[in-house]
Amino acid sequence: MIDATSDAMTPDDRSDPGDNGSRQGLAGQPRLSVLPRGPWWTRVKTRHKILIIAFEVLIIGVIWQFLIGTLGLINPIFMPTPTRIIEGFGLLFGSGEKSVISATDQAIWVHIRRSAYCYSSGLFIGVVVGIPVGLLIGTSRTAYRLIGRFIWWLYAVPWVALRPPATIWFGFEAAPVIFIVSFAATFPILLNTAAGPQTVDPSLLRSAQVFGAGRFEQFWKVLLPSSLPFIFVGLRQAIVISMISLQVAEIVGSSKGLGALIVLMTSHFKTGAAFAVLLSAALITIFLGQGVRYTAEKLAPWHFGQVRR
Amino acid sequence: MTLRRRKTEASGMASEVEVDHQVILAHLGKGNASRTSLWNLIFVVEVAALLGLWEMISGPLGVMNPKFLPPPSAIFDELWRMLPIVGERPITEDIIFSMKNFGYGYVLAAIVGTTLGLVIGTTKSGELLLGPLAYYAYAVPRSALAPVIILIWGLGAESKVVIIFLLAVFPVLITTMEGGAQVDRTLVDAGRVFGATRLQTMRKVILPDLFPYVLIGLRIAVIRGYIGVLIGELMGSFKGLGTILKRSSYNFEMAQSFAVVVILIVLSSLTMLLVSFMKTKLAPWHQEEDLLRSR
Repeated sequence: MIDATSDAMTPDDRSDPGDNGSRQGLAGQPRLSVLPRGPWWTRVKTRHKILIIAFEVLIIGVIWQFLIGTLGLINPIFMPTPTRIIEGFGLLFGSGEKSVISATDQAIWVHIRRSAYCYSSGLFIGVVVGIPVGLLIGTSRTAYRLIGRFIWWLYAVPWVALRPPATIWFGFEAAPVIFIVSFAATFPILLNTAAGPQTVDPSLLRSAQVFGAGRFEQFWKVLLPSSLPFIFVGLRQAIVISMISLQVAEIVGSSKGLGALIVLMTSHFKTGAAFAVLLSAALITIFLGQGVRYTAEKLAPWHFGQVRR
Repeated sequence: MTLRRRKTEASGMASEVEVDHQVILAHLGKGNASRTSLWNLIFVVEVAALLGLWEMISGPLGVMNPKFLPPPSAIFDELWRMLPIVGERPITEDIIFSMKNFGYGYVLAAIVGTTLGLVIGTTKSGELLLGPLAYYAYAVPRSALAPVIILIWGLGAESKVVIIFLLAVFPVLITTMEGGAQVDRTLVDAGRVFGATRLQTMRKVILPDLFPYVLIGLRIAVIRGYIGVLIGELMGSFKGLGTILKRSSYNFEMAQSFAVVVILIVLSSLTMLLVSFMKTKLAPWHQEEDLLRSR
């Protein structure tokens, strides 16, 4: 719908005949290379490709362990080995003597709860502000003329720069973090949503008019469904950006939250635990992104269902 | 820039907004020229009214404490004070420090990102072995690595360059990779039919088709790079714009920190303009598909 050329392209166009298994790419990722031929081992089936990735990760882990752990090329305090990262998880959740967290009298759940709270409320504010305003400026020319440029200006503000002022405005608790997260999340959602109604096929709108649809019905039945894919794209970008902004906002001047936990662990030279937190954040982001992707495929199958190649 | 859906989406990790003010405006505003100037006039009036309102509420009316929300006049005063030669408190050194770090990190990111992206995006082996890893590494919130990086490289310029590099490299890498998927397969096949070797196909067909996407990635990387500058300097530094921002905020000199934010916006916009200009100069053949064309 948006990118006409890619949608018109059937899945078969890009894949070698008889290579059905890998048509879709790895784990739903697009096929990237254009050159048709590769060595024999590039023609394996999708199932086997996942094995290859697992194997690859394993090998990297082993080399990493060998270089740093056994040979000691880098001080493991600076760059923890995989075993140390796994130990780091134990350090975070354990309550024994070795646990840094219990030493500072703060259970891990305090940090997790605070981060979850900030992340979800920031994202919620982003959705609540972004989607209606985006639909408004996307459908109304006057509204866009009036506030469009200001929104682009606000989007140009590097949100990290607002972190120190946010401390002054909102204090040291969750509020400044929520402010930063919602600021970072709103604009991707808003601008993508605003782009949605622009791409509606005008003949669809005209035919709706011919069949006697009022302005509201035109919006509800034509404009909104066509904007849905864009809203999801915005949401997916917002999920990633919110996680980044959450971490940054907590690292710079917050005492609770996953970002603060990273700082705490780093300053205790428990880099393994810091990397464990980082890894968890990455896994959460991937999980949420895939969740939105799945929802998008359910709710807007006409758009996302065909993109897969 | 455009309103095109990039293949990145299909990967579940879309990178950045790809819409541009001019595009939306072009399609919303089909009015004639006189209307446009009218709207520009309205815009100027709007800006003036907003600034006036802001000045009033944190100045004479006293709705907001100017300690928390400084009026625009105070911000302009502060900006004037920061000017290199005429100002009384010039911040040239800090700007040069930040920009130098940005330059090193950005150029490094551009080189590494483009090279790796080409390898992954155009060869089957690269796609199979490195592609998924690149996507998963992209999902790691790399800004959270900042404390560790500062632990390793210290408070000087090196750690900032590393942070900027880490933040800026992935947009370039991912867009270059995705650029590989955008290359028209028909053109590649046509090249092969006419007997082009692998190298020739690469040089004459794939690279020109891919190049604009590299530049799009570079554009996104600018924003990321500036965020990296700020993260690095807010975490701990002796010099730089972020340091001034942090210090002035915690000293309750909000006018100064707003002035720094203004400087940052101007700098990042200028860099963006530079990269966009490069794109129109270096890849003029690339007409990004105008998806709004139907209207």
